[in-house]
Order: sequence, then structure tokens, then C-alpha cells
Amino acid sequence: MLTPDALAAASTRAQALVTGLDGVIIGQGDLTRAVVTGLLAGGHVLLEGLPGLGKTELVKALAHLTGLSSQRVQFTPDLLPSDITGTLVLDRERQMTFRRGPLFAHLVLADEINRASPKTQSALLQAMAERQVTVFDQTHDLPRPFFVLATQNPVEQDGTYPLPEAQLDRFTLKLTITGLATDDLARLLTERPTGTPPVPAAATDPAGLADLMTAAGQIVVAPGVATYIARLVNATRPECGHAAATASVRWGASPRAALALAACARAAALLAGRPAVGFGDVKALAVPVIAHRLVLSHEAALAGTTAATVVERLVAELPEVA
Amino acid sequence: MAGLDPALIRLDRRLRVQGALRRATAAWSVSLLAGGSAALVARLAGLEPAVLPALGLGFLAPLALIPRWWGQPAARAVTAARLDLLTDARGLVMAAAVDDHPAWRPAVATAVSRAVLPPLDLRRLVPVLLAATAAVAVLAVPPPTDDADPRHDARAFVTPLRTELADLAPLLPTPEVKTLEERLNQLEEKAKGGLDQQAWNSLDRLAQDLGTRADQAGNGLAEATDAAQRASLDAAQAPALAAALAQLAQTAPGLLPPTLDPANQAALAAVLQQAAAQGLVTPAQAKLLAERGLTPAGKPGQCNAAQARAMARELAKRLESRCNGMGACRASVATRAGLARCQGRGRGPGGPGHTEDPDADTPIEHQDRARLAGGSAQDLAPGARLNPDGSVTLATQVRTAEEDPAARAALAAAAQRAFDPAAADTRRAAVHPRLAPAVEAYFTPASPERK
Repeated sequence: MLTPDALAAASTRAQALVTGLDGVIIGQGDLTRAVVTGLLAGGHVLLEGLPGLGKTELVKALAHLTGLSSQRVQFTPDLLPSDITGTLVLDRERQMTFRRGPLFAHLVLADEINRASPKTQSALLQAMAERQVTVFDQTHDLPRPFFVLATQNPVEQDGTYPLPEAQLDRFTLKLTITGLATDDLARLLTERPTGTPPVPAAATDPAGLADLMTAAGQIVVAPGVATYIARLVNATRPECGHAAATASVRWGASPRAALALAACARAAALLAGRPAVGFGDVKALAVPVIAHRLVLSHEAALAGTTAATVVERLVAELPEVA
Repeated sequence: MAGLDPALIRLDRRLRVQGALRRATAAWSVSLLAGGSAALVARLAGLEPAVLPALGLGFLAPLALIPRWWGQPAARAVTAARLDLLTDARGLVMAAAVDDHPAWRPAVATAVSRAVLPPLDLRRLVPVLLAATAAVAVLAVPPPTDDADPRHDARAFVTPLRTELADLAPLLPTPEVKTLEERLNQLEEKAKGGLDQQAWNSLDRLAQDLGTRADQAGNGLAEATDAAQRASLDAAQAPALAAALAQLAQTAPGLLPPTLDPANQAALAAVLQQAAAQGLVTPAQAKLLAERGLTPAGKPGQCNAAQARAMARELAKRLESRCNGMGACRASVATRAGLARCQGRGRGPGGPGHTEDPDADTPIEHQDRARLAGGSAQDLAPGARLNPDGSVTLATQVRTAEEDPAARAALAAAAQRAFDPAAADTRRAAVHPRLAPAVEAYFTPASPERK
């Protein structure tokens, strides 16, 4: 367990990241907090929202705040795996050398990821899961930390390749970006007449970020909370017999979801300055961590049921202590 | 941890008390109601020794389950999680239960100090108290009184028989009356302690015997009266009159007329002699009539037809007065029925049901071809159907297939053959006519090919 002083220091630094992001991305407090949570948990985040909501600025700001390198890749149907991983090229000394692709950065913004072909999506799959890429039988490690922030447009579905369940499972969090409230939009117009966001000052460096991630790992997940996470994740599986899942879910969440939920809960507790994960942390993160991993039945989809409502119902009905 | 562990113990104890209270109140309510019901049934059934044990069992039975309800202490992690929820510590208490870090003890102590144990829900005791009150109230129910069931009072059944015997006593021979009285006294004595099955059987037999004797006496009087009326018109019927009188003297001497004119006594004696010669009267019967004073002592003389008719007229007159003076006893009813039968009503002569067939009262059996052959199809009403074998169906009984086990079994077998999926091949099977004899021979048990 972290000491109170160490926890306070880590929490302050982590909170500085959120504050810095809030200074750039106006009116998206929950989003910036969730992104930092995903970053500290060592996961990847899938953002779903319309264009023009500041996704690129979010990545840039995060890079400035953490001192990490960043890359942005616009996914298109003709994008090849080598376009993102890199490939061998013939250099002036007539030697085949590996030219790194945009994945070789700490922060990668994969914009409109569902527009790339499944082949390219699979290349990204290995990078996200194993933090390495393999080109021509040569495996290259990606820089640590490696954080993918992918976006997809929920409206224009023509010519897209919906992410398969295996790919979705790699994303620790799936967040939905909503439009700004009127007051926030007015504040944006007032403070940024040219539309150019301010460049935030660095809140930490890569080593500091690594320390923060280590501190997040030291947040205690007590057996009671671990049991609750396990029960919650298992309750999403229809074979476990919970009414909400049996009626609507075809495939439930995987053990990876439980690991991701615990990691994110640790990061959330660190951000809140608490030495241990509480039931509230798990409940607050259950929908963004679990919902996108569920495959609903056709009947539920036709009835308008969403995965988020299923998880919300499970959270509401499942007691914290059995 | 000094502050956390006692709090965990207190919370675990409170939760176990809550669980035990919840289970105990439910079980005690059911147990008390069951025990009270059993005690009530025992009391109403007169099983007084079982009342208190039933109540005690209702009160004490759940005690045996208390150790089980108390159960084992919950896991430390579970109790810590509950305490964390109670104190709104957001994981701090749970973490402290796992990792007792000295730096966090003040914070944990502060959180634990906020803990308020869940209260005991004493409202759960209300159903138990109500059930206990109802169970104890059973004791206030009075036990059933020991009054004998009036239906089992032997007097209610013996008294009518005694009344009937009193009506019959003047009519029947004295020894027989004494025998019946003795049987009745024995039955009454035996029935004082209650009527058992043997007493019921004796009662039924005695009632049946009394009824039979009353019917015999009444029928005998009716036949004698009818015979006297016939003989008063036809002197040739005088021996039959003598036979009827002799029979009446044997079965119901009290119904005989007390006396006759001397001339008629002599005529009756002569007629009795003729009847005895014809075998219609036995010497013992003649002696009974003599003892009653209906025939004079000494050797009987001759009797012509006019004397016989006069004797019969007097007898008829006296017997009719006897019939009219019998009152409303069972013998009187039998007498009126017998007279009606003999005098043309019912099957008597001149009545619509009269027949000369001596076997008219014998039931006809279907094997009795001789009696069945008396009719003719020509006598049937128009529209009656004649069966191919010449018989006529008088009535039929319709029986539905569902009521006949054999028909039901046949229907089930047919349905199985027709619809059973396993018999599909059997239904589809078709044997070429050329091969039918071979197939039939193969499935015949005595077929040599099969052997």
C-alpha cells in the first residue's frame, strides 16, 4: 500500500494531467479524466464521436503534458499494414533497412479506425496487445508507454469495416464524446477566437509517467472488490444465469475485461487520492470498460437494448457483497 | 489492527444475529402454528395426553436449529467489505483489513468510528408472538364432552322391536313368542354397553324375523278369509278352507275366530276330515283347531253342501271382522295386501295381472327355451325389428368404447400402429402378392421354415 505522502504526490501529478487536458479540451471533464485513467492503467482507449470534437487536440495536449512522442494516422480503406508498422527500404548503401511507421510513438491517434481494412486493423491488433510489431520476420519493440487512442464515427457506416470482437477487446475503455454544452461552447468561442488551442505546459515527463503508472499498480484491490469485479464480469455471461444477461447477451465479457476493470479502478482511485479501490470506482468504470466487449443477441438488438443498458442493469442489481 | 478488528467482530456478530433472527422468527412462526394446530386436533379428538407434547414440540423444535442458524463467522474480506460500505470508506477499510499499513491507521480509525451497526429488526418478532398466542389459546378450547352419541343408544333400536313383538304376541303361538322375547331381552342386555357389529347383526336378524312372521300371519288370515268367501259360494272349496284354517292355526292361532255355532263346528269337523283324507290337513293341525274349540270333541259326522256353505259363511264373517279389527300393525298391512291379491286386485282372480301359470312368479332365464317360446313375432307392435335368428331385441345397453378396457386397449394399439413414429416402416411396408404366402408362412409360429 502506498504511503499517504507518496499517494498524495502521485495523485497531484496525475491530477495535473487532467487539469492540463481540461485547459485544452473545454467542457469534456469526464472524457479527459477517463483518458488519463486509461493512460495510467496502461490501456488503450476507443473514442466514438462525431468529427470536430477535439480528438486530435486531445492527443497533442496529452503529448505535451507528458513529454511523450505522438503520431496521428488517418485510417482509410487503402491503408496497408506496412503504412502503419513500417517496412524495409533500400538505403543508399544498398542495404535493406527498416523504416519505422507511425506506430513507433508513445501516443498514437488512430483516426476513424473502422475505415481501414481488417488486414490493417490486425496489424494494429498485435501492436496494441504485445507492444511490438513484426515485419519480415523481424520483431520490433514499440516505445513504452504505448498508448493508442482510436476514434470511430458512429454515423457514416458506408464503406467501413466494423471492428471485430477481438479487436474491441484490446481497447481498455470505450468512451463516447458528446457535443459541448452551450456555456462551454460559448466559452470556447470567447477564449479561442482563432480556434487554436493553447499549448499546455508539461506536467510530467516519460519517467514521471512511468512512476505514475507504477503507483497506480500499487493501489490495493481488496479481496472484496476483486470478488465483486469477478462477479460483475461473470454476470455478463449468459450461461451464468443472470436475468439481464440471459435475456440480451450472446457473448459475455472475457477475463481481460476483469483485468482492465481492476487496472482502471486502480487508476481512478489514484486520481482520487485513495490508497485502495472502492466499489464506487468499479461501478463508475463498468460501462466504459465492459459494454463494448459484449455481443448482444439479435432479439435484444432489435428491441433497442444496448450493451450499456445491460451493464447498467447488472451494476444496479448485483449487490456489492454476496 | 487495534480499531478495525473489534469493529469487524462486532459487525460480523450483528450480521449473524440478524440472519439468525430472520430465520428463527420464520421457523418459530411456522412451528408454533403447526404445534398449535396439532394440539387443537388432539384436544378435539379426545387425545388429551398429546395436547401438551404437541404444544411443547411447537415451542422447542426450532431450538435445535439455532446452532445451525448461528453458523460460522463470515470471511474477513466479506465482513471488511460490509464495514467499508457501512462507513463509506471507499476501499480504505477493505485495504486495511488486508494490509495493515501504520501510516493509514488514523484514517482507518476515523472511518471505523463512523460505523453504525445495522439495527435489529424486532418487528419480525410480531408474527412469532401472534403464533405463540394462538398456540397457547388452544389450551382454552374445552375438550369434547363425554356424552354418548344418541345414535348409539340401543334403546332407540330395541324399543320399536319390542312394540312390534307386543303387536304380534297375541297372534303367534306362545312358545314362539317366548323365543322371540328371549332373543329381544338378550339383545337388549348385550346392547347396554353399546352396539357392536355382532349386536347390529342380531338386531337386523330379529327385525327381519318379526317382519316375516307378521307377513306370514297376515297372509294366512287373508288366505283363510278368501277361502271362506269362496267356500260360502261353492261347497267344493270347503276342503281348501279347512286347509287354510289349519295353516292359520299353525302359524297365527291368535287370528282364528274364537268359536262357531255348534252346527257349523260339526260341519267344519266333517270338512276337516275330508281335507285330511285328501292330504290337505295334518292331524296335528286338526288337533290345533280342536284345541281352539272350533271343532267339537268326538267323532265327526257328515256334512252336506248347504251345511258346508253355512259354515263357510260364518267363518268368512268372523274372519272379515278379524281383518277389520287388526289395527295398523304390520300384520294388518300384510292382511290387506293378501286380500287384495286374493280377491282380484293385483294378481288375484279377476285382476289385470291374474294368471293361471303356476310358474308366473319364477324369473325367466334365457336358457329356458320352453318358456321363452310362448310368444310370436306377429304379436309385436308395428315397427319392431326381428333379428335374423328369429329373436327379438327387447332392450340394448350402449357401452362407450372408453368404458370398456378391452376396447380402449384395442384403440390404443390401433393408434400406436397408425401414429407411432417407430412403426413408420411397418406402415410403409407393402408385400407383393406373389411373396405374400412366403411372408405369411415365415411369420406363422408353426412354420417349418422358421424352425
